[in-house]
Amino acid sequence: MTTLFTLNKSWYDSAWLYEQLVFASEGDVVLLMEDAVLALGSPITLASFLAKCSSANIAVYALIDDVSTRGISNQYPSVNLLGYNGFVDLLIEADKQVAW
Amino acid sequence: MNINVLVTGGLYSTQCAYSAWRFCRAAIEAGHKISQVFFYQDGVSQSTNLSVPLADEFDAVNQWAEFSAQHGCELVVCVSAGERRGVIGAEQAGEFGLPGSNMHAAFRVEGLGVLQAASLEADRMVTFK
Amino acid sequence: MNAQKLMLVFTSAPYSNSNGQEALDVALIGAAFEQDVSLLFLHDGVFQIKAGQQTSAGIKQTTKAFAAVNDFGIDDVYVHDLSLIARGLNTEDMMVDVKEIDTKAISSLLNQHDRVLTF
Repeated sequence: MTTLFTLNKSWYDSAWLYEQLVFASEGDVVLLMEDAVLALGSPITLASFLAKCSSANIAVYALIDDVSTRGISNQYPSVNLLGYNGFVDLLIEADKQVAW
Repeated sequence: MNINVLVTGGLYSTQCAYSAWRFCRAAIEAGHKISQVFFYQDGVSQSTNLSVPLADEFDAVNQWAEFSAQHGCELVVCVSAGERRGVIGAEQAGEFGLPGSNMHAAFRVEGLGVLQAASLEADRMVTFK
Repeated sequence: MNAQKLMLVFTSAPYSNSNGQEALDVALIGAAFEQDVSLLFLHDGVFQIKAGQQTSAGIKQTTKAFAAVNDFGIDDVYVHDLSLIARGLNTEDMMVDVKEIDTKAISSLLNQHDRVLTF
């Protein structure tokens, strides 16, 4: 069973959640949306979180609409940007969603 | 696939309505079915027929109504969450002797059991907050 | 469809908002539908089930019902160990019997459920 974790909270407000890797485990998927995309513009803020996700085989995506709306320039090549159609696909491919 | 949607974020004060609505449209375009959108917690405010957004702003209530009419998706407002927050259907207004009701006709009032039942039937469930 | 495994995740403290009460309502409905319901308390959510809450007049102690969840057929109540430690709490401070689990165990627990709703 794989889980899609959607996260709409900023790292700057909810670092505790990122420190626990949003409770994701191997094979799970994380989608950053709304305020969760804010930290993508800073090359250091999410580095540790993303490195841990990568070594745990947790794929991280971000919703491109929310990224561009906020004027954020994504600094992390490992984070794939996708639209709402991609969001739908992620939900279908996973068994369930957990919305943080 | 059959997707059940739960929305809990307030009208205008959160991005919830917009994110959920965009997701629902993308799901339909991909050939999936949105069986029900259930409005819970502050999400009940997305059903009011008394909201007047500016012309260049996202009109969540009417967009939901239009989406529902086009794609046959049920818009269900949690009765207890609505009553506590002053989001009231016509029947409830009569029942409680209230001065009026404010729920858009595209939405209907149900208990949490309807969310539970839809969850059991759906292939996927997705929450927007 | 058969019964689903439903997990309610409590992440916010009581009284300042309605999340705890409205999550509990979903849990009780799930139990009434004979679903396999479990509760997980994380972050400030652990304060929902802290023993010794004394509310003043006019404020309902919404959390009282947590002490009786077993009566509704909800037996699995989990608490995140780090969330307790960070708040100077332990399982004896809780008003209901809880299983203390770590982050890794929570991850696998989430994977074992059909539906997970966070509040």
